[in-house]
Amino acid sequence: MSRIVTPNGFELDNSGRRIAIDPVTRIEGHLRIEVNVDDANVIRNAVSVGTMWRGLEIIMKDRDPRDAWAFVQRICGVCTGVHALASIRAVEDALKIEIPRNANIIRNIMHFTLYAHDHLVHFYHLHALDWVDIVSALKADPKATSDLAQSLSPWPKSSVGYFKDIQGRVKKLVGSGQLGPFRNGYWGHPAYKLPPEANLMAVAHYIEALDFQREIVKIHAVFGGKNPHPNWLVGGVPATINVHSAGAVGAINVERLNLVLKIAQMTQTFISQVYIPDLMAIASFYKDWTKWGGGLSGKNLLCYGDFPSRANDDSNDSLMLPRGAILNGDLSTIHPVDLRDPTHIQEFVPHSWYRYPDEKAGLHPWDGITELDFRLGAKTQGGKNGSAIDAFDENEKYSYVKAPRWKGHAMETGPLPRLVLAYAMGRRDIKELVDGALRKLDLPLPALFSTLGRTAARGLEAQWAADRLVEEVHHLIDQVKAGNLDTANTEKWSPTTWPAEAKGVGYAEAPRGALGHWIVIRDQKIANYQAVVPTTWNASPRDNAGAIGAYEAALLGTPMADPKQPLEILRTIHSFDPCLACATHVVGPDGGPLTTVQVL
Amino acid sequence: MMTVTVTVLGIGNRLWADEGFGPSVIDRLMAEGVLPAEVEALDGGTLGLYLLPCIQQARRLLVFDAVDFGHAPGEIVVLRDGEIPAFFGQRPLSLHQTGFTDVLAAAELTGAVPDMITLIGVQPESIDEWGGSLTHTVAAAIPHAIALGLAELSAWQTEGKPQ
Repeated sequence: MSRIVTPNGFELDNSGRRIAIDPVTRIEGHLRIEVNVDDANVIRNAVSVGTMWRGLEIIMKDRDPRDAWAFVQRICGVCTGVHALASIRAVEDALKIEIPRNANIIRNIMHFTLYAHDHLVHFYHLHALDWVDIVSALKADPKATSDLAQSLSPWPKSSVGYFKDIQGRVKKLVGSGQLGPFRNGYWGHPAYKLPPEANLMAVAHYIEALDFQREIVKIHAVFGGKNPHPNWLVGGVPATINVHSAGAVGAINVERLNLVLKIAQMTQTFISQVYIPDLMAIASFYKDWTKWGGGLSGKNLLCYGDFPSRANDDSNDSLMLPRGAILNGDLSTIHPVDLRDPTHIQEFVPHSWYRYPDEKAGLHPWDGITELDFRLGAKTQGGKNGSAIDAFDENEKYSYVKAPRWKGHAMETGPLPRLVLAYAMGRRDIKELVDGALRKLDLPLPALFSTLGRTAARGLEAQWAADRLVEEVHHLIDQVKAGNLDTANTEKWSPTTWPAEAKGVGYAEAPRGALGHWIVIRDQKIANYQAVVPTTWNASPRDNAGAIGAYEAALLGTPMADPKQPLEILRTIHSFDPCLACATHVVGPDGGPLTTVQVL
Repeated sequence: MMTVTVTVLGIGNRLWADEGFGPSVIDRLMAEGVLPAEVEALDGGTLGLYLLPCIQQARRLLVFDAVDFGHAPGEIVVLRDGEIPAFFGQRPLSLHQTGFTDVLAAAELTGAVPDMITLIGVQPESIDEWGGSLTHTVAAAIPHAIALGLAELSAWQTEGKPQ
């Protein structure tokens, strides 16, 4: 092949120069991206390779379903908690366990907290350096930086002296030659567009966010005992409420609730006064990036929904973020999504290093198989006699990520799909947020379907989550005031109350997208466990029909200034907030400190 | 009286043979109960950036880790303060591919770094045998590493409090 059109409507041409980036840094886990560029350095073919294998499905077999959350939570140390949430929901679904209202509220509080934390850390510590040039910040005038900051936000840390101090610290770090977290940057790359003062302001907030993010997660420690990896419970939450401060040690009391409220309000303030103004300021210099990186986002979007406002009710009347799918960019038709229907969600492996009895067919997760089959295609370059692989052969198997499809379609998942679906369904809270941002940036709605749109949607969602977090803490305080202290339902705790066989599905919207856990319980043990995670959708390889996945689609058509410095690829891939630890079902030896960029 | 926060941190991945040196030292220190009561011992695993608060609050930091110095396997090297960044932490610790020097640099950016840092590193024999425990060579080096660590702690103690 040289030039083909995929079944999902993308033109691929792999005749030009091949570029391989391995690993993509500032993500969790290992991802390799290969692209072909034409004579003008525009990306014409893209190949997303998950280079780790997870194997958690196999570890879960024959274990007690009530313990599953504690194992699956370790899939990832970043979106900590969300796998646990999907897991306990799957078990509760299988065993028909209803949770008390307080448990639902506390789970929502934990989950909103995760959104705020995860989005903030992603923006400042994983993604900002794709847009912010650290070295340019050294040239900034602290006075002008102070003026800029004060024109954008009432955030108090904005004095001339403050920015001077920050600049001094960065200068010291850069001068020492030990760039630390800034080591892998393409400083001075022509695609950086911010003036020095905006760079310095963003660097200051990068540092502030480092300190602030550790405050947010204290909420997890209050309700879940610790962070990362707080404790969860099938049937409710492992947190007793005791307002009289007598009896149970470590119970939630008024002092703890006030602490949670205070942190929630601080989070809301930090996001609205720091994150959002920075996002808007940065976006205003990078409007070009509404032209690139769209990929599947303008076509096929998938959401499982989350945040039930009523316990045990996952209908769209209850879910604060709705469930549904959009196909072919038609925002007027919302397709219902059924996680149990075997024709809805299926995983394919013709291009993944797994073996199915019939590889033309997809398997619903309840019937899912996780059997390794590592083989390289005939056109693989390199890789002989233990040497490094130069280029994978995308016509055959090339990734440890399976290819999940919804009714046969490759889908994008994440904050952007969530906001677009809620917007299309006329959810007023989301609509106001999105319209407000678009107005401010003077951009039309379709501008969202892009790299910049994905990054902006995440920030807006962080604001939304922080607002809801504060409300939900108030709901919990109201409940406690009314004397409702129940946090767990233990009626079906004993396995003797369970049926001989049960199947369940647990849904969640992880910060980076739709997450599903499917469980089959037989004779009180786990007979099958399958997790289809957000990055499985987004980092998906080609499927049985040759349709490409969301990362692959998003990279097409992007012009690169210099293929040896693939900043443009990092921008688009990071805009998805990849989490490969979770998407790939041990790890090749680390590629060393610096990413290898090979132009073949 | 202000107490000096002294933290002993073992970092590394237990699933990768000698990469598990740091956490294994912490296991042994806890099992033998040889640490002074006011010293905090921490298995840092592969937490990366999550270790930031622990580093920010420590005034004295003793780190155990497997470090590739190009020496003979099992050999121990002690590095102090300024000598450290040049030598180690270059391989990603995992969480968001953050290496330990990245975490130290981040702490420095926030203006809260320990006054004194000592690294006790072992030369690994094997770091890519998955699922394995420590090699015999590196396991045999643990008592020596612990003796050096305890000597460092008592030197800090007799030096007195920071300003």
